[in-house]
Amino acid sequence: MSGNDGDMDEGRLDLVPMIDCIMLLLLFFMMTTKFTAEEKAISSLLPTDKGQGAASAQKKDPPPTVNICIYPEGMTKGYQPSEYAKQMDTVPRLRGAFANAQLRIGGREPMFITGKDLNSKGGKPMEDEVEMIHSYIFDELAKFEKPGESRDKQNDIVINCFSGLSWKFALIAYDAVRSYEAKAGNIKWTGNPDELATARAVSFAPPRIRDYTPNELGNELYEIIHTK
Amino acid sequence: MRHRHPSIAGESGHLDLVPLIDCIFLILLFFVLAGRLDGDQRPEQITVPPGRTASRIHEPEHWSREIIQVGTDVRLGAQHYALDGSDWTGLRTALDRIHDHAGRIVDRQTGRMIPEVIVEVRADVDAPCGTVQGLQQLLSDTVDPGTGLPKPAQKPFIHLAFSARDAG
Repeated sequence: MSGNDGDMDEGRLDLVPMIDCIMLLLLFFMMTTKFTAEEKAISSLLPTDKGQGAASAQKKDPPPTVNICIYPEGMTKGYQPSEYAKQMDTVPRLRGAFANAQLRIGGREPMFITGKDLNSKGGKPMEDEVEMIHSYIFDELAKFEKPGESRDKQNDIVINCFSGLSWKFALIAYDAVRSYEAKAGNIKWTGNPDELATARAVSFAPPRIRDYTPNELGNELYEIIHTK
Repeated sequence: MRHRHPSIAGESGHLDLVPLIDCIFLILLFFVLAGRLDGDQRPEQITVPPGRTASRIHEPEHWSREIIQVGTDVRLGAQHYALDGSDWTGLRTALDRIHDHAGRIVDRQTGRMIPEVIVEVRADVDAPCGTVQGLQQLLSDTVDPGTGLPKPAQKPFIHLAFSARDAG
């Protein structure tokens, strides 16, 4: 018996302090690390033969487009811009942003989108919401199909989202459009830029305003709600 | 001679701690390699809402990916810019530098030379949509960010990727 617990005993190293240290390290990493899902994004290709850069383009008339309009809930046609500006104060908000939205294509009745369901990272309410948006967009885009034309010859799609709405509403609409294109054109999106070259152009409408005053926002709402 | 049953105690009556240490080291190694420290500046990079067509972005060889983050402000690299676009002249200047240093490929639509860069716009789910719309316009280089007036595109980025993250 050595009489000193900290020293080597019968030629063996005392491993307890090392285990203590390792346990502390382990505890530190277990408490501070966070596991995240794989990073994903929706790839997109901006058209290069449109806009100001193509001033010499031969097309005199703007090509027909399919407009997807997204604006805050409860707003309907038939008001003046100043009235829309006032209505904005009464729309429910969530974390400072408009809580819900309406989405419309063409002349059909708009569909209602519940914002909080899109904030969740999974679950049935979110899946149901996404499914509903996809179904609506699939049904409506099918009506604008030009039979016999390739995907890049179909009318361009422009997503007109009110600038004050949350980004998630525009992105989920964009995702649904691409999902439709994947089905119609038998495309499998893998994130490679080349696969977008033969796809139909889908873009977000450029901002209508630069100064976010209530009057300007009212004008923007008026334009989006009355876009055909 | 007495037959000895297998025991976790060693010859000297001490516990054999080597297997325990092996296991702990393996668990430690797992957390060190698989975990991500909470202090990371972009800890919640997932697509919310979970886009059905979202995929991992694969840049072709020699291409680069630049990330513009949109949250309480707009960030490109270490630089911060206002959400409302009031100082996006500086952002456009930074994009011009990226454009100048990038490789080039020929655009199939127009025959123009375009940069081998994918710009990912990574915005919080509740970021104003108008900011992302403005960024798209800035990237297409069709508007002067200082005056807001249209201009011929000189240095456009056309390969974009959109994602959303939950700001929590």
